[in-house]
Amino acid sequence: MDFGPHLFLAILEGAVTAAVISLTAVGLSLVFGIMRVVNVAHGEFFMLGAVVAWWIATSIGIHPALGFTAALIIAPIAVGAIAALSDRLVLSRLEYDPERTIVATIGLLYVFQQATLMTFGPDARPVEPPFNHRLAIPWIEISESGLNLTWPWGLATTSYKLFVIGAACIIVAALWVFLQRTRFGLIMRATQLDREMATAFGIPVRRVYSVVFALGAALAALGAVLIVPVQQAHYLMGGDPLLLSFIAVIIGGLGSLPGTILAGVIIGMSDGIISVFFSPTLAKILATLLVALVLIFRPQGLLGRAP
Amino acid sequence: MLEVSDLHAGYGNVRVLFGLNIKVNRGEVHCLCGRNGAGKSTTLKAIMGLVPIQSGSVELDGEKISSLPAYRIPARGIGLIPQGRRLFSELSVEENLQIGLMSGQHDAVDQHERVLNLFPRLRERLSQAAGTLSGGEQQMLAVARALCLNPKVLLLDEPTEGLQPSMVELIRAAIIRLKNEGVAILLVEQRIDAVMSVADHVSFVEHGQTSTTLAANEFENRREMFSRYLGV
Repeated sequence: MDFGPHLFLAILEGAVTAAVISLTAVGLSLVFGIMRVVNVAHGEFFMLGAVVAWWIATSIGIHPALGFTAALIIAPIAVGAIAALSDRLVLSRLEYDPERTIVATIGLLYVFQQATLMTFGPDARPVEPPFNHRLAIPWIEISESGLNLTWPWGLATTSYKLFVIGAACIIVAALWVFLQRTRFGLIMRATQLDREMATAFGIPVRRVYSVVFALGAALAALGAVLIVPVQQAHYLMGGDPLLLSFIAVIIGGLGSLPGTILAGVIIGMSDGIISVFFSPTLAKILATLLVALVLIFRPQGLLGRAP
Repeated sequence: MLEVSDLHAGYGNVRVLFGLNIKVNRGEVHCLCGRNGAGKSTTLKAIMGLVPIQSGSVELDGEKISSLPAYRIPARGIGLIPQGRRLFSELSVEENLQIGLMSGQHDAVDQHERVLNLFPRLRERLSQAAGTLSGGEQQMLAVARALCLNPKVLLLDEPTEGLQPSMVELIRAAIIRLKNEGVAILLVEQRIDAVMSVADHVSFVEHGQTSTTLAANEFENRREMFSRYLGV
């Protein structure tokens, strides 16, 4: 395949990664922005979403589309409930202290990981996509006779991958509308800006935190449900999404949702493109290097505010 | 209406209030005066439940509110205008008012109109981010946001700090209007002229305790106390 079609294919793969990373990173950014909690267990909520999706899809088993639809609805709710329970049992008892919650979420990471290993075993679990049509992509070539429409061999994607990109865009847009246009969105933004004043105006901050922690986990789970038909569910799959989400949140600007989405797209696209042309390891190395450069030259991130 | 009895409160292991007593009646302005660090702002925060109370009580209309969670206190009818305004700076003026309206036990539409009629300038700025308002407009919004609760008791922490004279006069007029409407006002203020022009009672706070309380007719005869406690 020529370089042009090959690059386009890499961009498409990158867009799928970017969609899932953006969703997952937005969850992490919400939790950090509003609660000031660095949630090291965020990747495990992603993993739980994937494993629960596999379990639901396998249990229903009538038709892949039915199982997947049920997983898309139930898995984020189930993972959100687990997160809310974790918040009540652990984080709220630590008074959301920034340092102690880091240690606590590291503990939660191992609890979720080992509980999944003990319950579902170490095997990677496939989930059948609800639809997966191969879509050949045309390419325009410039030749002496003018513009020619060609169908390069291998230049194709699947309808499911396009669905992942579209679904992630819709979910992020819906989240934006929720935050900007609803009463609870306003409460969340006020709590983010000044926790004490929010309390002084009757906002039950601890309940808001529980909902935010659940929402952040549910977003990670949604990302996982979307990607699990492409990647398979596995008890160790939370590491990469956690690393890439942290990178996106730091590059975008701590607590800045637009910044996190922008950085998620940049990181996801570069991860996809570099993985296709070179290797996934190089993609992670370059992303981590980018974080270092951002921390040195623009510590507040791309769209974060300088302190 | 509002009665603070033998209040001991502080931050963690640091105790700031050591048996403070205040009583504010309906339609009365009660000023708290004292040097920096005396415990005036901590008193207001403790009443709002924002600072842990070690002992003593806060009662509103005979109901003990000091045992309630902090977020339930505004709905009982206590509004706070904190020092430095503490607006939700990235939210619009309208959104700040909406936050104020959330806890109030009243018709939100009526209260919204009432507050904007009190500060018509805010009506022109409803979609503007609160942080971009001038200092005076920010103070108007801080008062308006607290009034959205339709409070029975209003706690004001140095509301005229850093304002130009015309704005000070506007805030003073708002305080007098609220007092005439029957709102009980607990005011922390350092400006002697502002205190003497609106207060019905003044309590002097020293080392976390109320040392002396004066009625309005005693102010002129006891000016030396203002000098002693305010350092003026």
